[in-house]
Amino acid sequence: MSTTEAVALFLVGLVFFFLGLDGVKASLRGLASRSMRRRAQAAVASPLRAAILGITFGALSQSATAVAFLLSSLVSARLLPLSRALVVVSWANPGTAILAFLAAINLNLATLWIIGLTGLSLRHRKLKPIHTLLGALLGIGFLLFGLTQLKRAATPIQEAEWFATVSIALNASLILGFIAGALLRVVIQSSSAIVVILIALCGKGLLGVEQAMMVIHGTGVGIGLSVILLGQGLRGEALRISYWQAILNACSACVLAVWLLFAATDMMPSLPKLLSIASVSVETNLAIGFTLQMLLCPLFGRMMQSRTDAILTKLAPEAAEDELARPRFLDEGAQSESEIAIDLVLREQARVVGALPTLLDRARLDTAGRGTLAATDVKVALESLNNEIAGFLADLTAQEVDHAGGVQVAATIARQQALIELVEAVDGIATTVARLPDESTARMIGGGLVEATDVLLGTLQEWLERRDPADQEFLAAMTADRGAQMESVRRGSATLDYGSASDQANLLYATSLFERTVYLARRVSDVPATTESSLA
Amino acid sequence: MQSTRPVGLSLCTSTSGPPCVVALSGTLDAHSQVEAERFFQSLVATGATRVVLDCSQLDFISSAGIRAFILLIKLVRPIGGAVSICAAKPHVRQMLEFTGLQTLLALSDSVEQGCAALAQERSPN
Repeated sequence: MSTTEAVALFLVGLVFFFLGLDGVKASLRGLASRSMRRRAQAAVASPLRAAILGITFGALSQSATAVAFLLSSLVSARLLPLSRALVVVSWANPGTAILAFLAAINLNLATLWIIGLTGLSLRHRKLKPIHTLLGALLGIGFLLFGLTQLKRAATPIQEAEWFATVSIALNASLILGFIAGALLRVVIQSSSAIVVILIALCGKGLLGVEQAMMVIHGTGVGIGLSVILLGQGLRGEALRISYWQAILNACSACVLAVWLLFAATDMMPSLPKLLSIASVSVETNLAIGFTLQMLLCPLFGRMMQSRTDAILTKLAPEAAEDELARPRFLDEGAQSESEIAIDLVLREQARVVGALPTLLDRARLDTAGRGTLAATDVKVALESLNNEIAGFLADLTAQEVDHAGGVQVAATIARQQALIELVEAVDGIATTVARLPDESTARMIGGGLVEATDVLLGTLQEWLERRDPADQEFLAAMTADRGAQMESVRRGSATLDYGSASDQANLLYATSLFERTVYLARRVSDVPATTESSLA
Repeated sequence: MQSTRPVGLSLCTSTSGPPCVVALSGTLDAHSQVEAERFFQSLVATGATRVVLDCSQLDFISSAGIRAFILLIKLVRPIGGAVSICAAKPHVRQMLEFTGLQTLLALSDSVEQGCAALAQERSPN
């Protein structure tokens, strides 16, 4: 393989990795129902179960990086609590080591099967009910395929003459070996593959066992670097998993490296020396060293357990969108009294309405009114929160309630449906108006619709939170039917100079969306609207 | 678009009333919302209940500005007062109309019309 081919393959690997990661994230969000969460949480209910799951994940994926990112997606989709996910991650490390030496699965072939079967199944209409699950599997397939290509792209390095020369040079310094291990792990993306290369180099007599062991220890820091580099787009809890993986691997690697350095001064015997007393082969010697390093990860995880939260929160503060996506009032016990449950749902719905103005930021005329959150992140968080509320209400309907309670639940479900549609409508207005050219008449009118939507949403939120009669009066006026008003704007846009045909079309669409937003806000508020004629 | 707008808001009471006429000029946006709200609060604290807002020199209003107007209405209505918004430039008026609050904000074409409209309102309790 030429260098050009290797670089291209490396880029392809990265693309598939990120495509897979995005696919897994999106699909898991679709799967994130309350019942699915209960099942997922049951799988990690005890530390032992979490450890077993971690070892299995590590063994099957053969990649600590892949496990870290899969768990990031599970935590982002709120399918797993962060505390348990951290235990799973720490135990995934020994999982990767076990399979690397005991039963090497042909991951490449398995990945191809996953991609092929799930990809074709997704085209099958009869399998539509499980499309989200298939999407998640396809994402995992892409992610693993990407990692495989990254490893393949590193093949020419192993075969290059300079690599042997560098390997010989590593004999001169243990520290150099440690650094080389870290860098190699970033490039090759597989610690077990590095161990195989090292065994070959030791077999040829190019590298000493202790130097090879130091390279293995260096891979621990490399795992951390890889996870942090590939996790650049992550925030909040998802990023904490990456940092956790990096910290555990770096700690275990550094402890073993320090031991080896002390041993070099004859203060104590090194691990390879201890193992050589038992007459183990070079292969086994390095394999044990690597496995020990991986086993230290959950040990360090356990030792740092009490300070995990503090450390990770400092490194990766909670992202505002994570906080928004997490229900503040709905928990399992909240469903016992339907009246209280409905009140809690109302509070949660007010949170959704309160966050909606952020979606308008990109299209505001008033740049000073813009927040710092990205609209796309907020929309994803709101979808997640809306799923939570809908799931909570679905569970509530399963409970036995009296007639009045049933009517209340039905009305709340209808309001929730309107709220879900309101998120789409508000996002639609902002997206459409943001397309209009600055300084144009169409933009000014579209911006006016955006600012008016902002006022409406602010009043709706206050009404949902406080039920102040004054807000009710304002809301009744604001949510009156706007058919005639918007029709007048549409007629005006057809006769005046409102820019290109595309700008006019966007403005027309924005007026329709505005009408819909007003209608949906009325449904969410439950306030009887004043008639449009009374506003004229 | 923002760059073409004059920055800042100027508020002054041109007639102490009743009705009290307040002239607004410049930009009423998220930056100047707090300033406007404080002004309205102090105005109502001094006893003003019927307020005519002369917007003839107001170049831009955003949702934040409209919220300041809503606050003023919420302050005066419980004490029998009312607010009239007068002489707004076409784009400012259109923005106010988009909110659907034209009846509550009592839009008028001139300060005189606004004062006349408020004079017809019943006296404060």
